[in-house]
Amino acid sequence: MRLFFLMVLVCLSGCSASLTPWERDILARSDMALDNAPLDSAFNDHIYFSKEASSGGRGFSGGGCGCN
Amino acid sequence: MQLNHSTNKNIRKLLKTATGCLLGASCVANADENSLSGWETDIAILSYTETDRVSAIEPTINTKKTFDDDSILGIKLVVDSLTGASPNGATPSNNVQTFTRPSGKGSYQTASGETPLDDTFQDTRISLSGSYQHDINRMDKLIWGANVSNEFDFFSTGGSLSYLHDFNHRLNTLSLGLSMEYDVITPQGGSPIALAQMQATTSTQPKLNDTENKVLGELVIGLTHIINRETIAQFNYGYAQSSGYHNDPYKVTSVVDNLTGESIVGDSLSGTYLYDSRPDSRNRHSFYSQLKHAFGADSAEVSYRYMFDDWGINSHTIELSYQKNFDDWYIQPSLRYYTQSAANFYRHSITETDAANIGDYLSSDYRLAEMWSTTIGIKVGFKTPDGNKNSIRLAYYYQDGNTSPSDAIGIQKDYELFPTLDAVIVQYTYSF
Amino acid sequence: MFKDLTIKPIENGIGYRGVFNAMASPCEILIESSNKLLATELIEVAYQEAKRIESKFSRYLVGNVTHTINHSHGKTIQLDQETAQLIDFALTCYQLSEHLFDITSGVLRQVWHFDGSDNIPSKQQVSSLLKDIGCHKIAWSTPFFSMPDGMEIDLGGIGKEYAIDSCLRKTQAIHADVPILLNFGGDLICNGPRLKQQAWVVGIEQVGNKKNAVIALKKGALATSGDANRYLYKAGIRYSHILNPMTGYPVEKAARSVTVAAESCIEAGLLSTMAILQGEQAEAFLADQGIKYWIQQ
Repeated sequence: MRLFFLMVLVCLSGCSASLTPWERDILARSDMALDNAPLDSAFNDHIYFSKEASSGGRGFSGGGCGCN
Repeated sequence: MQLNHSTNKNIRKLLKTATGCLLGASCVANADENSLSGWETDIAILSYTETDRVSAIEPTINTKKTFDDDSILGIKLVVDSLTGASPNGATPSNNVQTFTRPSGKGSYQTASGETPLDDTFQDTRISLSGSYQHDINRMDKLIWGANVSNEFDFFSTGGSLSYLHDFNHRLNTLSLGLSMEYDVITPQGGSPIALAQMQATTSTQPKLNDTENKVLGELVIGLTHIINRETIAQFNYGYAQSSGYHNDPYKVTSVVDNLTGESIVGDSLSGTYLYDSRPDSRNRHSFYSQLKHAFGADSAEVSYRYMFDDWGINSHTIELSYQKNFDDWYIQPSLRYYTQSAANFYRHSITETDAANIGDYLSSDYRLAEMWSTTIGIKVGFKTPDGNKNSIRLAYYYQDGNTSPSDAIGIQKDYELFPTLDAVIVQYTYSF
Repeated sequence: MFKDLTIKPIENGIGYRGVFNAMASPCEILIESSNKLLATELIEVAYQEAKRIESKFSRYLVGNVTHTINHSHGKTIQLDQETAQLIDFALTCYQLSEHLFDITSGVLRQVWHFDGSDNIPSKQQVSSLLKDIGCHKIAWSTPFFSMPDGMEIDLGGIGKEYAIDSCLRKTQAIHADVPILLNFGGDLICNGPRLKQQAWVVGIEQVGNKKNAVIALKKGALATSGDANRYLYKAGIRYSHILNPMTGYPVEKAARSVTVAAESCIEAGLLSTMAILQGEQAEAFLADQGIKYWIQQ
């Protein structure tokens, strides 16, 4: 839990006031998207949902699976 | 001079015709149709293989289309075909153990010293989901989601709505999401009475219901923060509440002798096995944070999730990955480490004395046990001669828990009381 | 090969950029291809087309089509197919905009000088010019054109956008698969997304001190109309350089800048100009069109 708040602090400390349009080029790259491989994430979420007790985080945690 | 609304609407159509004439039939955008106004599709296939246990093959097709008003419609179909054996919760014994199949019409046996595995399951699941994203105005958008899935003993349907708001010169996005899900469980043979003993095929096994159900509601609040030109972060808080049937109808707990740790003769079987019993509600809180940073043409990501619930489980998940981009291809190694504490009603087995006053809840499902897991993976993306994107991903998943807990009794000390697991994952994706 | 055309590799990326000046604007052509020969060929083709259109229609050059029309002194002249199509288009816009978009309104330039000063012309100066304005005074039966002596046409309002669309078409005819973006002084068009399905990231400069908007363009064109640099300021009122041809005065309460996204640059350009001509109604007009737009008041 403390790790979560530490990450929040780290992120907020390195802020910029604003970004001009030409400074958003790097973030516009497809590999810089927060979920740049949604199929992989979905497969992984499904595997971990059926093998562990936790789910969700990045998005909704719902099952839709009666995994045994 | 003012133009009214109907005149305004006509203008664009007429203007389009006029420009068409001016520029000639072969107007502007001449690029490949698919990449512009058509559907962007990914087909993927996942193969998941555990050593000596479950295997699954999961083909998927996912397609999305962006319309002129920037709204996006997405549709996804997943078929999941599962075979193999899964631990049923009972612990190993020096003797051969016999268990009754869920249907009540057959049985299976476990050799001496082996972890009991139920190999009944050959299950195919089909799942269909859709999403629609559209702008409300320049800074706000909505994403609607709906899904339905079906396998022979489980049906699920749900919907979700998320609202996203950009602010602070689009350096930040606030998101609020709500999701609801309704599950119908039709256990093979009906749902067993919680904590009742498993009976032999020749005896009657009283069952509760043919169908059980469960409802799940979830709220996720998220904040995206652009830290600087190369760095972006995401924070999510999620609260999920589920209510209804949470038991696993196919899992049991072994009752063992107080001193020897050996299985005790039951009503009709050579061992005493009590059916899984869990609370009929579960409240979960999760905190998720993710950081992505570009290192030149490459990118790296780290994420951490903390989850705790009212079953006594808390977990930590850390994931790291680094994507090295070359001109036409990329390679991405990744690592995941997960650890969880046990649910407060989890026992690897219970002694005869304890069985007399268990309380309401008891489960030996290894997924509720204290455990940790590691995943190491590598993914390579490249283009095929037709110009479309492909990727291959390989991962190794290893899960371990308290194989030799301090409260192991007698013969239990000779056996592994947590069914360690290792699995290989192979995935191939093709996009066009 | 051409003196006023510079071609250089793109920094921090794949491709080449050609830079030159045309139609009173800095022009650039971006081609995402590591094939230098191909990139050079496409850039040169676009450059030549831009220069051709500039020479043919610029009102500053003597002897070209515009000069001939404006010195026809009421006589009927025959126009070539390309010019005829442009006149057709301009007259259609005159109708669609209910006479607000008028290529004969250029004469107002004689009295309005948008240099940031407070030099507003007198009422008489303006009204004396109104008799020489009005597309309905043109006798047009393609390809034969005549207009009363003293009137003149100015294709500046559509020339640059037409040039961009035409330049893109010429490059597509040679090789359509390479990602290309043409940017002529802020009006731009692309033929599709960049490599790896990335969008072209474009910034819209905000007038005043507001932050810039960013557009991710995956296809189509963008055109901007506005008064960022050309205006008059007197008695606390800012006079936009977009003139209402029926009154001879700047459009009242005109938006400072309108950017429109559409399939072709000429369509985007017309819509953004028509929006500004609507004055206060600009946003309502744009909302009715069902296109993507950005407006600053």
